[in-house]
Amino acid sequence: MITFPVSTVMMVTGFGLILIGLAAILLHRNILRMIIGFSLMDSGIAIVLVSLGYVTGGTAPIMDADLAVAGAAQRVVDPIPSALTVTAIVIGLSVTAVMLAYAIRLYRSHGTLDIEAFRHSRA
Amino acid sequence: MTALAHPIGILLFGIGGGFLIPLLYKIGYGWLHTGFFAALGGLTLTSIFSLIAVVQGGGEAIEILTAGAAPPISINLRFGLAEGAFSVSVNVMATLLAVAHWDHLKKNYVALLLFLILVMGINGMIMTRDLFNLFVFLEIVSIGTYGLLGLVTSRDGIQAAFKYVMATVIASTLFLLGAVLIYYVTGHLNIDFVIEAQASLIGPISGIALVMMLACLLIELKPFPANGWGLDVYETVPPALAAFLSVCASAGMLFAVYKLLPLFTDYLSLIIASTALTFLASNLIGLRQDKIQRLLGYSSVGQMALGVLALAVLTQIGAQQVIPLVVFGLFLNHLLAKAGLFCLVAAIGASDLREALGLTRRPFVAGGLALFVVAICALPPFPGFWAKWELIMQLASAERFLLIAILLAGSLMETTYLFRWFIRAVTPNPERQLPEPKLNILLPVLTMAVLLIVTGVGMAMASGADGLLIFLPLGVGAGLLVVGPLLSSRLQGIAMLVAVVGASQMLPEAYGIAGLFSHLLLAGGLIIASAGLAEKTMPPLHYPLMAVLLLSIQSVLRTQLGLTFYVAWEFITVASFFLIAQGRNALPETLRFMVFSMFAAFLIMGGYAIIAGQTGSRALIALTIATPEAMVGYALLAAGFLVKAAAIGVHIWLPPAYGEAPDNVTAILSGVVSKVGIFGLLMTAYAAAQSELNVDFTYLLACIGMATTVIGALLALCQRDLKRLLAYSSMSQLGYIVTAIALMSHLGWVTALYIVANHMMVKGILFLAAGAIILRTGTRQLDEISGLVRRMPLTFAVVAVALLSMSGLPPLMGFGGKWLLLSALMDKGWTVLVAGGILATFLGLWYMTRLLVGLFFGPAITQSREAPAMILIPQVLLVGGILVFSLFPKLLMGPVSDAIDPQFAATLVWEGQSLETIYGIWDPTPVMLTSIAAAAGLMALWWGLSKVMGKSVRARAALVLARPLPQAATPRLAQAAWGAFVHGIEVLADGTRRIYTGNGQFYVLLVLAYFLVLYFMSTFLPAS
Amino acid sequence: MMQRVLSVIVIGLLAVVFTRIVGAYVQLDALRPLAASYVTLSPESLTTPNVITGILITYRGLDTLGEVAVLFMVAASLGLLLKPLEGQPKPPKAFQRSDPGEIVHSGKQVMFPMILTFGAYVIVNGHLSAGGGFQGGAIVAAGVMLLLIATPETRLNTTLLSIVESTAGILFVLLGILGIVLAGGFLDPRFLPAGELGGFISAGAIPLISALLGIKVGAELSVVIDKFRT
Repeated sequence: MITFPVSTVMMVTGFGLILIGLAAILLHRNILRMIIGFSLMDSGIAIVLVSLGYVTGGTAPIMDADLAVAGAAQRVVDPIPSALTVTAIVIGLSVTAVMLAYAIRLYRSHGTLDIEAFRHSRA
Repeated sequence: MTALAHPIGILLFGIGGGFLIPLLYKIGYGWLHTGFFAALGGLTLTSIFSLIAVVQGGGEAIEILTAGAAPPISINLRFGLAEGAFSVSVNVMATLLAVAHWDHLKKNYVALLLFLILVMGINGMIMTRDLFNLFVFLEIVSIGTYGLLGLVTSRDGIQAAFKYVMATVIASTLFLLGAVLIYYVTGHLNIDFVIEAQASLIGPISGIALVMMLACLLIELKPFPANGWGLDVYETVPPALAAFLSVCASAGMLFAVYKLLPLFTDYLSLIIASTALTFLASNLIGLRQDKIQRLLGYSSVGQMALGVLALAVLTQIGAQQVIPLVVFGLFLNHLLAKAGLFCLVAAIGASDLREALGLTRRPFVAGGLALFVVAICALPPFPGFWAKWELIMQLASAERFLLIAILLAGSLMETTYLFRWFIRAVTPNPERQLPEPKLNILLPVLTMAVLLIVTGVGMAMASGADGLLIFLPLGVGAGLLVVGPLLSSRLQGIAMLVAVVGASQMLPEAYGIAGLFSHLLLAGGLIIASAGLAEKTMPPLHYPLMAVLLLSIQSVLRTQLGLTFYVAWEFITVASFFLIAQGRNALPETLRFMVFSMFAAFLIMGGYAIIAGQTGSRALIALTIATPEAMVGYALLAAGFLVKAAAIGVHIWLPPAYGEAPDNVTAILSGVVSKVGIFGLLMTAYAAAQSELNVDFTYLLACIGMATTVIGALLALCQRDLKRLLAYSSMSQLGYIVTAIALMSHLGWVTALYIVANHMMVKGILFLAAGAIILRTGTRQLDEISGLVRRMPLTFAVVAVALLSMSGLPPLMGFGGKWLLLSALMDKGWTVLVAGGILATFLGLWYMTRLLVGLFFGPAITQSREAPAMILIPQVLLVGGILVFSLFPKLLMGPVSDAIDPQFAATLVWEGQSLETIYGIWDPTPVMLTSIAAAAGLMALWWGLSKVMGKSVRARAALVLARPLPQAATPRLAQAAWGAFVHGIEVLADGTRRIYTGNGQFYVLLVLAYFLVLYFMSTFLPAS
Repeated sequence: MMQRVLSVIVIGLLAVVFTRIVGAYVQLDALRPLAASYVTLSPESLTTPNVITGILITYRGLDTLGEVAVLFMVAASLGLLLKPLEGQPKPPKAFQRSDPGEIVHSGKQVMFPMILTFGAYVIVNGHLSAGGGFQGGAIVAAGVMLLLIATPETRLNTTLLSIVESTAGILFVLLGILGIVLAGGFLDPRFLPAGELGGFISAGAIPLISALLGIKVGAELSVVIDKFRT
């Protein structure tokens, strides 16, 4: 039986979430559902990011009683992707907030959330 | 000062100012607005001081470390020459646009803080050296944009903003994933370290990661077809905001591409393909666009694609040394001109391209529009021109001919739609109210215009063109424009003549054929232009433009450099355009003139580039050392000059332009300007002859020339409109000259020059006389004018001399020309052409008779009086010229013969006043005497006939008014062919733009598909 | 229909791309030099046991500043975006807010102070243990959200929150500038005493910055939540 490293499993999960999110974005006509798709995609990205920083057998890069400074570099996961993930999450959240605000704005001005209805400008 | 010179201040002013805005808002509006401009000004000044510091430091970049640690541990920023140039451009433009956009921005303090942080974000994108940090700044720019789009409250605007958000979120997600994958592969996020570790960027993950980042940056620059979301936003937001997105935000993306380009070396071909497609497609679709802002959007997309294209292709062909000139030049041109156009849209308050605005009522706005349109079309002297010229030259050296074709085709389409807009905008429409332009829009526009001129001049200096030859015409024109309002119209005219004479003395002397042309056209031009003095009030731009026109012609003739030749050539085109546009009904006809002129110019540019690329020299003389491989180059050059010479098939621009231009402008165009094209053709033929081409296309050229002559004469015969008749006659005469040039023999060329001189004087007279007749009779229809011989005897006399000379009948100049031409054709054995020449002579006689009889004989059905003296005097001078050259042909032919390179065996020998050729002796004196006798007899006969027939309306109708040929005999083949061609283009454009369905989901799909196409294509590329 | 088919194809092709990534991915066995140097530098140079905080606040502090700016812009632009549109049809009637119910209400009474306390704890211990300004700020905002759900009539003092977030932002920038003046560069926190590794008062200015971040993020997210209620 083939065993996958834990980070691969995470990564597959992350990419799976991204694909599910994209499917929601591309296949649903309701923009709220599309926004949920974007949110799912963000979550997937965060998971992929963290999984890319995983080091076999590593622990969180926080020194404490169990993790002495000396030799820590051999025992921890890569801290950079984790740091980047924090930033990515915040930005993802910001984007979601903006999109939701636009959804409200669209609903107020058009009375609908159907993406097909928003085709005034074209060609 | 030193503190200000630290570029970190750019970020601090932006973000600190942004944070401060809500507090200032609580204090009061005065504080808020002061604080906003203080922060924006501080940011801008910091970038300017920093750039100065970099320049003073010899160009060494300022490295900005953060967190007290060196990279790669901490994020670092860099502020070098490139960063500084972009940063300063963006910040200055942002400040100008903030002023122009003030009405919208000041509505909400949030907009102010978004604007500040957004500008900071762009600077961050430019300066940062860290991949992830670049992503963060990219997000700052994106989110700031999303927020600013909240200023738009129209339904369309809200829709567009949402599409924009979705598409750019997908794009930046790609970048994020790409950057982290790069980190996974290399262990670095610092761009310099990643580039260093490039060798490890192999394998599928690296490939995917790089294409993800590349796709994001390209998508942000709105590539075709994944750009509908961007265009919707350009269409729906306030113009100044559109300008900001189009120029400032895109600048950050462009710079990011530049910064990361070392990583993308394997993908240069992909970048080139995508951007070339975008440039072509967006300009193609622009042709069918009616909404101004969307049109400018297409133009923006095309321009940014061109910038990236230049970046990629110059890197690929190893011409990195010209990247600053080309890419920054293109960028600067787009930055200033596009922002200027968007601001003008705000000032005009128009949205439909087809609407006639009567913009000339707002001269400042109209002038700005003209300036920016000319600049965007990459015409000299603006920065875009120098950049595009260098780019084309480099592409030609690297033999990237397809790209040259795409570039020029796209540019031609862009010229077409922008000039069409300009023409519509200045078309009079008294119904349309124009808003009083606001100062806060006009001042930024003025600044942009000034910067455009200043940077253009700077780049001209850097490009190695002859400064004097380029700037003297413009300088004189500008000077006349400035002093113009102080002088009466006639004084302006005199000032113009004096200035042109004086300035032409300052220009370097031309020798040989060019010298002959130069003297001839200067004298002719001055004489014909002086007829303008007859008018009490000229349009204010007439004399400045005339000065530019006449002096640019001198520059074309006197330069040794291809670049200067081309620049002055374009000046002639632009000056002619504006001169023609001043005609009463000329505006609708000017577009065709401009498009064909630019078409000709691009053919010339392409041809020259190919030859220059092959010889490796940019001097005109290098045209003569090219090897047969440069054949295509010569063919293109010849084709370009033939378009300007209105050869058959491409002649359709000439009759409307000549017909509708102001009368004395037509005289200059036909008499003088057309000869510049002839000069070009002559020089091409000369160079081609020198460079030992294998393929001989002289017979083809001769046939084209003769066909032009015959068909031109035929068409002239069918005209009832006085000026159109003369216009077709010009076309016909130019055909003779082309045929003569094609002879490629000493005799042929002497003939060509001889006809050039003759035609200049003849057409000068005829068009001036036509102008006078139209002035006095108020009509230009031949059948409405008759019997002028009594009313305008002097005009009759000069017209008679001119027609006689043109007809090729003895004794005047034209006879000599035709005699020589037919002799030379016989010598070559081109008997068919000889027959054509005789036919054309016959047709010519016919329409000239029609003209003379129709105008001057018959019943005096119109009241009129003699032409004004100021129109007559130039004509009399020209008649004097004809007589002198008729009596003493050697005066002209001697120098002509000497000027032509001795490579052609001289077949003309002069003995006294008589010319000896292998065919026989042409001694004008006995010929003249006999022909004067014959002419006197003929005149008597005419007089008698007209005595008898003149009273008879029916006879007159038969001779003059009847259409001599049935409609079917002159099918408008060329018109139909070009019409079909244009229709085909339009169908193509309409088909292409169907991709813009307006569905945001589809746009997201296209964005994802764009990445996928890029990626799967990249897997087929060979890795370096 | 055509579009749906294309969408499925695009998703399928993206799946292929992602599969290629997963296929080529090899789990790392050791830290790369740069990551390893952070693991040593953070405790030694910054006296910060939480390496991620050390990176976030200091070495990649510019990212964090940018991130703060992003959040700030979003909080501000929501005001612009959610403003009722002029001249447009009146927004549809707000949904009838149903009573949150006894459980939520009582839960709030118990949880709200605890959540805020926990948030504060996470914020100020960012340099020592998992957490930090963003995380803590988010927790605080979650508390605020609970409050708003439980008692919808609550009015947040957005003016005060706006002043707080601006001030925190400006102080953050000022601390960054102090880094230029007193230490090695922009955002260098080492101008305050380093203290002892693991001590509550240690790690230079990092806890200070962390606290500012927490306040700012908490305030901003609360504003965001509040804006969506309108």
